[in-house]
Amino acid sequence: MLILTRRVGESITIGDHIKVYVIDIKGRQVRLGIKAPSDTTVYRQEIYQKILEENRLAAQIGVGSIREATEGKE
Amino acid sequence: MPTGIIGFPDDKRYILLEHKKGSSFLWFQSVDNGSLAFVLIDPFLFKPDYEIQLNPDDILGLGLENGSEGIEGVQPLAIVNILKTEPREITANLLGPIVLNLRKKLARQIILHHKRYSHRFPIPQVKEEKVP
Repeated sequence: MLILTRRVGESITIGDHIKVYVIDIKGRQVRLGIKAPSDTTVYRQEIYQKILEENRLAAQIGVGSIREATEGKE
Repeated sequence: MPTGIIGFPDDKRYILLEHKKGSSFLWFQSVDNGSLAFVLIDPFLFKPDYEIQLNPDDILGLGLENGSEGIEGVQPLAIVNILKTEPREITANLLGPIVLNLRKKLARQIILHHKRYSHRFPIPQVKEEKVP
């Protein structure tokens, strides 16, 4: 992992199309601005992780499990 | 699905199938990977006040040009999970629904920050619709 130190107002360029700006710092919170092409999705890590996990579990459901779990619930 | 489902970025083509006649559940089956499929459900069936919010990238990604489709051309479907509880709890991911643009046959999984919906919203008993 590349670790950089930036001040407010400074920025980082990733590849040719992504820029991260340090907009403001208040106490322990950093306000970041991200410029990326529309086909590049940007997520807060902990939310991304939640959805990723949930998707992975959901992908394991087979026809049998749904039938079994929905007896009388459809 | 140009951006795929989070965690499955290479599978971009899916077909939507009924689980069985009269069921509220749908299958989102990957065309390119036969063993990849998700169970989906219309969240409005058990949460009539469900609200989605599309950011500019979502709008672009779904082929909705500046509100010409309005919110009517768009159908959110929640991915269903079965928890390993006893009895089995069935939950819907309301935080990261798959949104469909039915006209353009485009889909995208979006993340809803605005309402802090649960990624494991329990699905209550849904009345089975009698198909005539």
